[in-house]
Amino acid sequence: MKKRFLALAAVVLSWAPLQAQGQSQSEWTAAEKEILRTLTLSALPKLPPNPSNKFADDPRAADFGHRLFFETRLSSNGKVACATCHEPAKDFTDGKPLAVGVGVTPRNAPTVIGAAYNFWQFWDGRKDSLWSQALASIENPLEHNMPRDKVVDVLRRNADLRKEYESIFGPLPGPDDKDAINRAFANVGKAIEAYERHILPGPSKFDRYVDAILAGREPAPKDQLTRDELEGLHTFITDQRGRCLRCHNGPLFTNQHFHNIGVTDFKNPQKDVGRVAGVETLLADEFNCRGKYSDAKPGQCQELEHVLRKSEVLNGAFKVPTLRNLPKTAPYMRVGDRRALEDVMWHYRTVPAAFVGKSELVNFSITGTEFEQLEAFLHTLEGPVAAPAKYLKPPAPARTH
Amino acid sequence: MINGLEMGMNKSVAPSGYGIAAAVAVLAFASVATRAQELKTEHNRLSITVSGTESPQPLNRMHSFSLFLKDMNGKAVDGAKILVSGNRRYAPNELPTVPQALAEGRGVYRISGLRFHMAGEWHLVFDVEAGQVRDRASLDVVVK
Repeated sequence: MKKRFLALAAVVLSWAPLQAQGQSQSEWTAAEKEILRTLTLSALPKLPPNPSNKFADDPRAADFGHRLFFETRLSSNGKVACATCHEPAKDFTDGKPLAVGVGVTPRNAPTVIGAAYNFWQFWDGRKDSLWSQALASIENPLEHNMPRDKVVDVLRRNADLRKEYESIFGPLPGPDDKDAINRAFANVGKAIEAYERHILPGPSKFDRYVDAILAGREPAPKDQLTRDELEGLHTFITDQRGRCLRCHNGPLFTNQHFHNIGVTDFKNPQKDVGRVAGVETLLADEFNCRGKYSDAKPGQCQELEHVLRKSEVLNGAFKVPTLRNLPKTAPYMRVGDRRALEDVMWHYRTVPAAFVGKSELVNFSITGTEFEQLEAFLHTLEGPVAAPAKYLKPPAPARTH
Repeated sequence: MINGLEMGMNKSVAPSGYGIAAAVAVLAFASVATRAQELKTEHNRLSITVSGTESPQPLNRMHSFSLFLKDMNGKAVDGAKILVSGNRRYAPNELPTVPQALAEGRGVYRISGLRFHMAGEWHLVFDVEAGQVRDRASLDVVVK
């Protein structure tokens, strides 16, 4: 009798892990499915136009922007391009803790994938468009270290760049017309943005799994989540456990806002104050949505018109990054001191205090195993880059005649 | 729906068909038009009604709504200062934007720049100053 019982138990126990794979569809309540519906890439709306950039969806501008993105002549040492810190092969990051241009910057390079959907650019949100963000990096002494008049000079002196610029934007200005130089400089940024708007996230295993669940079908075998991935997803979407969705919500897993979670640059702990300073820089920026080089009409800069400033919560607060495509974008967090995702999980397990402002994190009531499962779930958000293949590598040399 | 009904009509029932079409048009408009909610104020000095704030509110989308201001005699109040603030219930998170009120006349104000960055229950507060008269009302909304 005992032998029969043990044999039966052995059969049941060996069958259970196989059955776990097939239980995907029965895991979710109606309320949980509604949450999942907001997270799948299928819920991501078509990229809206950018009213501040009338060339944003111009294919010629995108091709020119593609060239500029890989162009090292737009740097003081001839060695730095946008692609230096935003390499396509590393999901448009650089694999380094801190971005390195002409000098070493104080922050980790964020991805360009899906950045066109961001309301704000840079960790402190000091730019409100991709085109104006590109200009800041080009002029930053630690990044490209190239002032705008020299940028225009490079365009003027190089026939390949001049021809392509002028075919889209008209004649280049002379060296003494500051306003026209600013406008040409803005055009350079607008072309880069037109290119970057094509760099979008492609569907991941998570998206295919959720789309199948919501359609009432069993996910394909390769799309079924493992038990750990399922548990990690449960924790992620359950507010009483992970609280993740408060900041990492929507199809891009970011609420587009700024939060203080106690990430500290220990080389200078109280220096980087984040959004509280970033918003003031943004409002004073001549290249913001309301500036004279923007193509936006009155009333089209809603985020800028209603921007939050002078609030204690912005002190030490930085932009919530996307959680898509994490595996290739290590190291992590603002100062890139988290080499692996398990180190990021450790940050959330230990809840360190902030040196600037007050961290919003409080102790999580989830176990070490549950943190490991969260990490397993995050891996399911990795997907391809949805972009024309030609845009994922340097452009062919331009014709000059 | 309206067009489909009109396309489905034939000439023999045309007179009553037009009536049906008109009724359907009214009903369709009524279902689309947002419901106004009169808010209970703290001091009973002003009447504050909002429209376009029904739950669920969308997540992370900039939108606007209307606020109708009257005095206790039912007279529309113009030229008021309206401050809109809000926070998540049971959590310290405040609104990520600063909504602003634009007077449209006859006691109507367009409140623009409202965006919720987190799902859940939110508590909005309207502080109104109309000349020497001040009052406050609040509204709970659910964001999904």
